[in-house]
Order: sequence, then structure tokens, then C-alpha cells
Amino acid sequence: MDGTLSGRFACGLALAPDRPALHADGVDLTYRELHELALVRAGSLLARLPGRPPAVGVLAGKGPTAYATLLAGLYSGVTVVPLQPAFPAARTRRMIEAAGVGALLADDDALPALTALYEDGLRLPTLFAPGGQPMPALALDPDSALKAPQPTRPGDIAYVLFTSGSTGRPKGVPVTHANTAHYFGLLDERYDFGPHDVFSQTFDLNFDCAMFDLFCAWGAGAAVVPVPARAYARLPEFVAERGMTVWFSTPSAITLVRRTGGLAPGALGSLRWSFFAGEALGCKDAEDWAAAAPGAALENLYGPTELTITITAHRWTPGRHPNDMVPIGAVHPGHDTLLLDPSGAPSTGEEGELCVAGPQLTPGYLDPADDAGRFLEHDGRRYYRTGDRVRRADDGGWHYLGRKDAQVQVHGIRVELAEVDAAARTCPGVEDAVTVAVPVDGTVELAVFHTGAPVPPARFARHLRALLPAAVVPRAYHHLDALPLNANRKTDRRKLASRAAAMRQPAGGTHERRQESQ
Amino acid sequence: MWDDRFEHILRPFLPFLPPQEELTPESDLKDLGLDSLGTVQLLGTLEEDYQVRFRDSALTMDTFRTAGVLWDTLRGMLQSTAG
Repeated sequence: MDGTLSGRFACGLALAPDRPALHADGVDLTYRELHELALVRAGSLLARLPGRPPAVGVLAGKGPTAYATLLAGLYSGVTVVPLQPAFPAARTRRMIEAAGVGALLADDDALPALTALYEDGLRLPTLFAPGGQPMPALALDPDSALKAPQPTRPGDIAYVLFTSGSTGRPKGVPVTHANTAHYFGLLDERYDFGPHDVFSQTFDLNFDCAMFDLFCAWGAGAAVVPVPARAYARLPEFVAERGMTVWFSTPSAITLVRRTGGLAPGALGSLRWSFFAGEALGCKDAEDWAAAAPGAALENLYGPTELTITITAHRWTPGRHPNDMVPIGAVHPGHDTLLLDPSGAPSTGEEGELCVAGPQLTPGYLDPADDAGRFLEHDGRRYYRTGDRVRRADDGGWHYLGRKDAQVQVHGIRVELAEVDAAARTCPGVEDAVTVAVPVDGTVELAVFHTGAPVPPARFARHLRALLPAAVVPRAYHHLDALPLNANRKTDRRKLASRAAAMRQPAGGTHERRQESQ
Repeated sequence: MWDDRFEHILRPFLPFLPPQEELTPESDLKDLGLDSLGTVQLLGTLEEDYQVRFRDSALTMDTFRTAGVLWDTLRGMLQSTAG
């Protein structure tokens, strides 16, 4: 198989040309149809640009046209930068500028996002099939359709994704075709996906776990089904109606499905595989999900974007584990691991910060200044410091213990608390602000403590929604006359975190009752 | 306006609405802290408590935009169930 992402689609196209590649919002698209759409979009883009841009932005949600838009980006042979239409325009614009995006491919639902970017001052040639958007338009032209996807070299950057940076500026992570080729090569050996599989697609397209959904499915001739938020209200029906066989989401989904009464034993009977990633997976959540999906093998996957989608996997079996957390499993073949002690020195102990070297490692951040402190040369190999503390498991895999810094995962979205602090300090009236994470149902919610003038929470949240992804906007705002200090005269984050936990009012409190009444 | 039960169900999903502050039909639910996951849970609670079922076409963010729109949608279903 051609190891590129577009090569994987070609594989599915050869296996199952007239079977559905996508089922979104009631629209079915076969492999052949999706392929043709992508060829036209990619060709229209390339025909009307004066030269090859360093990168093309793919502004796509999860509607029926989002997937042809992403595929068109890959077919163009240019580096793709997936952009989330729901993100604040100012944030998206910074990503566009940082990655040198020279043109946009937008899906048919992107008009509000294009308008917001335009109003933010962005001007980029844009292919938007329905027309009527404010940017300089690239017309859709069937005569310009590519004959085949543009070739790429293994060292070329397939895509750039952005993760939260502690300086308040998102960091760009380039991933090469060689990175994804190694990754999907391993997955092809590990799993048995085929043309009759139906994959869930829960992750937004700017989250790299979406690449797992799409290119595991498309490499096998299987169908992809985006899962809209409202499907969680009746997930068993949704899964059964679509004949879904492969599920992949963050563990937060388990809590949500439990609350909506969808986790009865056998309720997800059509599933053959269940995967979770993006945050720690609790043993109880895994057990309950496995009981609801008794025909499925369940795996816990782990990996930072810098190591290409996921870098470890653990096949779940019933049993007890440290901290009631499912292990993250063994690091993928072909990689070396190294542990660092708290001082940052290589350690031969059983516990430490996990560092990984090997073929899934990014060549380095888009801005080399971000590389400082994140990579490590050891025995002639270049390691990525994950910032995650792990302990060796008996089976050669790893247990996840926690972060060594102030990075948290909110519903699977990785965020540096310092970035939220910086955003909160820009709110009018606020002098100083500190963000803490409050553990809630296997994920976390953020809470802000601030000094300065009291700010109504609704106004504070509205201000932050213009700067941060919606999922990481804090859920609680507390005004203080002064921030508490610890013995080292630093802000006492620990004290604030326990205060936030104590003050938390459970959202949708009536649900606790629902859960008990089951 | 709505019954007490509706407001009792809705308020816990609105973390930015102080307890002493009035919930009005024009209140923007997103501004008051209703997020997409909250929307899904709220939907389940309303369906269970009122013994109704939202049509898929009613399951848009528009339905959950303000307290008034949501109540009108719910009341519409209650009336069609009664009739």
C-alpha cells in the first residue's frame, strides 16, 4: 500500500469503489463519489493559485462536505492544516499565519467561520463550493479536476496540527508522510478492519485521533459515520441503526452515555472494536462500556500529537490496576523509550517522565523556538519528552500516573493552564487570574480565580469564548481580593484547586438522580 | 410562561446564572454556560421528566438558544401528545 494518507484512500477505493466511504447527516457517499469530489476540489484549488503554497488550510466541521474537503487538501499534495470552524477567528488566524497557509478549502457549512475570519482581517484565496463568501473566491471547476492525487515524498509534511502552548501561543506540530506511514502500517498488522466495518467519527478533524478514524476506515474500504452531539442522547439506537462496528472516542463519552441511559449490558451489541484515547481511562468506565459492547475488544490508546496520533495501546481485560486507571500499554514497535527522573536526568528506575524516539516522532515544532526543553538527545537518538509520568507495568507496558506540569486534558483537548491564565487576564476588569483543574467524572473542568473587579461569569465566559476553544472555556469564575500564596510565596494552586472542587455545583445535578434510578 | 419543573431542570445546566437572578424567555442559554455536552444531558432529562421525544429535526442548537424557544418547543410536543 502507498503509505500516504491519500494512498490509503486509494486502497479503500480499489477494495470497495461502490460501497459507502461516508454516511453523514443522512447523506451517503461512495468511495468513487468522494474520490471524484476531492479530485475536483483539489484540481480547482491548484489550477487557480499562482504557485504551490507552503500549506493549505482545511476549514471543515463534520458535515457531509467536510470529508471531501479534507481529502481534497491531501490530494493537492500540499501540507494540510485542519482548522476548526467553531474556533475563535483570532485563534484560527494565528494558526493560518504561523503555518504559512496560502489558500483555504472550506466545507459547505463554513460560511460563518469564513465571515468571522474576514472580519478579523484575513484575506486568502478560498474555495467554498456554495459561493457567496467574502474572501477572494476560487471557483469550483469540474474541468480542472486532477486525474490522480498529487504525489508526495515521505519527508514532506502531511499535516500540521496545533496544540496549546504555555506561552499562550498555540504550537504547530508537523507530521510527515513517513510518520503516518509507520503508524498505519502498524495498525494494519494489529487490527482486522474490512469493507463491512462502520467506524464512528467522534473527534473534530483538527484533533489527530480523527485521522485514526478516517484512515483506518478508508484503508480498509469501510464506512465512516460522524457522530453528532445529539446522537449521544440515544447512542444505542444510533449505533444499531448505522450498524456501527468500530467505536473511538474520549473516555468522557462513557460518562455521557451512562447518564443518558445508554450503557445497559449489550446495548451496543454491534460493536467489534472499542477504542478510547485523549484522557485517562478509568477501570469502572472501561468495565461498563465493555458490558454494553460485549462483542467488542476494547483498547486504551495514548499518544501526544508530537508522536503521531497514538504511540501506545493496551488491550483491556477485566481486573484491578493502580489508581483504578486502565494502563496505556506498550509503546509501538520500532521506538525507543527513556525515563527521566524529576531532575530531568535519564533514569533506570521503574517510574519517571516518558520520552520516546522513533519513526512516529515529529521532525520538530513549526517554530523551532518551541523545541527548547521538549526534545532530548540521548545515545545518538532524538527523544520527545511527553511531560507524562509513567510507571512500568508487569507486562512490559506502562501505567499513566499524571502530568509533571500544568497541562490538562479537558474532554480530550490538551490545554496549558498558563494559556487560560493569559487569556483570562485580558478580560476587562481582571488584574490577575489563575486557572485550576477540577476532576469531574473522569475528565476535568476548569475554574478561574481572579483579582481586580468582580466580573459576571456570563461576561467572563463570553470574553474567553472569543479566545479559546469552547470546550476549554472555564465553567466557574471566582473573584478574590488577593490570590493565596504558599510557603514559597508563589500562588497556591493546590489550595485554589481544592477550593474550586468544594465550591463546584454539579452541572445538570438532576442527572445524579437519573443515574441512581437505573 | 413555563412551569416550575422546567426551570428546576434547566437551572443546573446554567452555571453562570446566579441563583437569585431571574431566568427570562430571552435568556441566551449559551451565554449562561450551556455547552454541547450539557445540551445532550438536558435533552435526556427533559424527555424523561416530560415523557416526550424530541424529533431529530428539533435537535438543533437553535432549539436550545434561549429558554423561551426551548420551552415553546417542549410545550408544542406536550400539546400534540395531549391531543
